[in-house]
Amino acid sequence: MLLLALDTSTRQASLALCTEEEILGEYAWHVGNNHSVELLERIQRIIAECNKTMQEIDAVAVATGPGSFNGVRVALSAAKALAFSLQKPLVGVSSLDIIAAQQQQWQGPVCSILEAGRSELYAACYAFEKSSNSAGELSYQMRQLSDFFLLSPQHLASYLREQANTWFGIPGERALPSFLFCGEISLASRQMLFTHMQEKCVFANNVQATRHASVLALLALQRLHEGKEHNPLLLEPLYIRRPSITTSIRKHPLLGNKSHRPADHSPEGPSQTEREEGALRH
Amino acid sequence: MRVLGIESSCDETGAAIVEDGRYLLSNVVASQVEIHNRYGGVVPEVASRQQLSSIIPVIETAMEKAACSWQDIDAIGATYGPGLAGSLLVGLTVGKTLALARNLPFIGVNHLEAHIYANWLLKDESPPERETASASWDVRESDPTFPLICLVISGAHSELVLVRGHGQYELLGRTRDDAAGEAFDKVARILGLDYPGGPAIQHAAQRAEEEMRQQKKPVELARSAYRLPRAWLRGTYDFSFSGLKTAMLHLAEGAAGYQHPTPAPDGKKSTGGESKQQSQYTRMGMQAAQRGTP
Ligand SMILES: [Zn+2]
Repeated sequence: MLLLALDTSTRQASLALCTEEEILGEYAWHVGNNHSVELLERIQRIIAECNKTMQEIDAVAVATGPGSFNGVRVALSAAKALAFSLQKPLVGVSSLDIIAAQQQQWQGPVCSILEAGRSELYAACYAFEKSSNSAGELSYQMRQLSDFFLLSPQHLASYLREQANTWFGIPGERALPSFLFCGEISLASRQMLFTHMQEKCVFANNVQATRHASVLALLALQRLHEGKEHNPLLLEPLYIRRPSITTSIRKHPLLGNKSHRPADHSPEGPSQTEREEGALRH
Repeated sequence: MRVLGIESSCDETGAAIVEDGRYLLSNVVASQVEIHNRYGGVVPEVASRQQLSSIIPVIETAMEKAACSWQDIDAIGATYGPGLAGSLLVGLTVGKTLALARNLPFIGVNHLEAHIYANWLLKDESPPERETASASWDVRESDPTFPLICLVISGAHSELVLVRGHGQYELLGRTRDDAAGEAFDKVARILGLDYPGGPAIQHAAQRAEEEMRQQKKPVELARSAYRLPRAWLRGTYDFSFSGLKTAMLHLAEGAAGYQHPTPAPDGKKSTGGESKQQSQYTRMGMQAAQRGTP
């Protein structure tokens, strides 16, 4: 089965063309904010380099976020269009799942994290169970322990410390395992987490934790075998954060007494220009 | 030659199939106006999210209505701008990906140029049976003849364009400040009316005229009761709507008991057409146009 996997959830993008057996091609690169142009160029390139045609693709896998809203939408737009026009199955996988799956050998809870801006983090917690079959082949079963969260580092840390007992046995009986934090985590967030976790955690190197679309492809293949495919007409991104809506300015006259303008709108909300631009319809 | 056209520049998701450049086989639009009414304006992030939800169903419906399969489509076009970045990104990415997947040519189209060419669409005619594909398009007597002037009112744009021939554009004039639609929205807000402003003002005016008729008062009197500035700048083909907007504000502030409106958006629907609004623009455009073109 030939699977094309796309991930433009953040400034770090990845693309892979895989079968169950091997990676035919994979890119992981810094895309900045040029998601759309670079993703399409690279899809074209990877297909050509692997001597395949678009029609030979058997399934499409896509990272559904969380991450940059526009970035997530680019991969989703492309993946939906591919699945719809090639009439092939589509599987969406959270970018936090991909980050966690890359750390499956860690013996303890894994917490994948992406920066959400405004000093908040997108996060989810996972655990892995190792098993080997009669032929001695090793495999890891990923289990998601928590919901997908949007929390400040302090709140995330206190949540994890509370939950650790529930997840990992009887308090006082044995030492709680260390959390492994991985993903795209800023220095400030790392310091904050480390302090609030009372040092009961370790951090994966950010380069090691870079998302690889081949891992997305593997997760998607598993889910495809379990019959968990998505409808390209209905698949939605995992935004987690609601759009910031600044209605205040719309309710007041633009002209005249400035004191009528509310002072309560968030300084981190969309810029004035964006709001003004957004107000224009035709 | 059949083209799938995709438009996602603001808060509406559109897809259409057009044959031989003129025959509209299907045209499907998903509007978000009811969602944005609640916020009193288009919220870009909300619009982008809706674009992604609607786009594939809208394209599928357009293909169904035109009874087209992928084999029947020869090219794909999508709006590349101007518009809201997040919204444009969805339609453009989908359009380019469809072209890549189906090995079809992709054409990025300027939204304002598309507005001009909407005038050549044949909406209620089916294309003639042809042996071979036609390279040129069918000409009609009722077609606009060159040179012509087109008033383009869209989003932030209010422009007067001289079209000398196919694809030959010359910008004669544009708004120096607000776009026409923006002026309507702002005046509606001054008057405490709903969003979008155009239809809200139109309805308010119709209601007022109706009341006057019932009270047997001459409607013409009301129409000339206030002196408001014209939206065009003398000696140019440019427009300026900010003077009109300021005049409206002063007028409103001068009225007894006027309070700056602070209505909470209550989800009231503004319904109704844009015919009056548009004809007003057209008259404005005609006046500007009268000022001598070759
Ligand atoms: Zn428009």
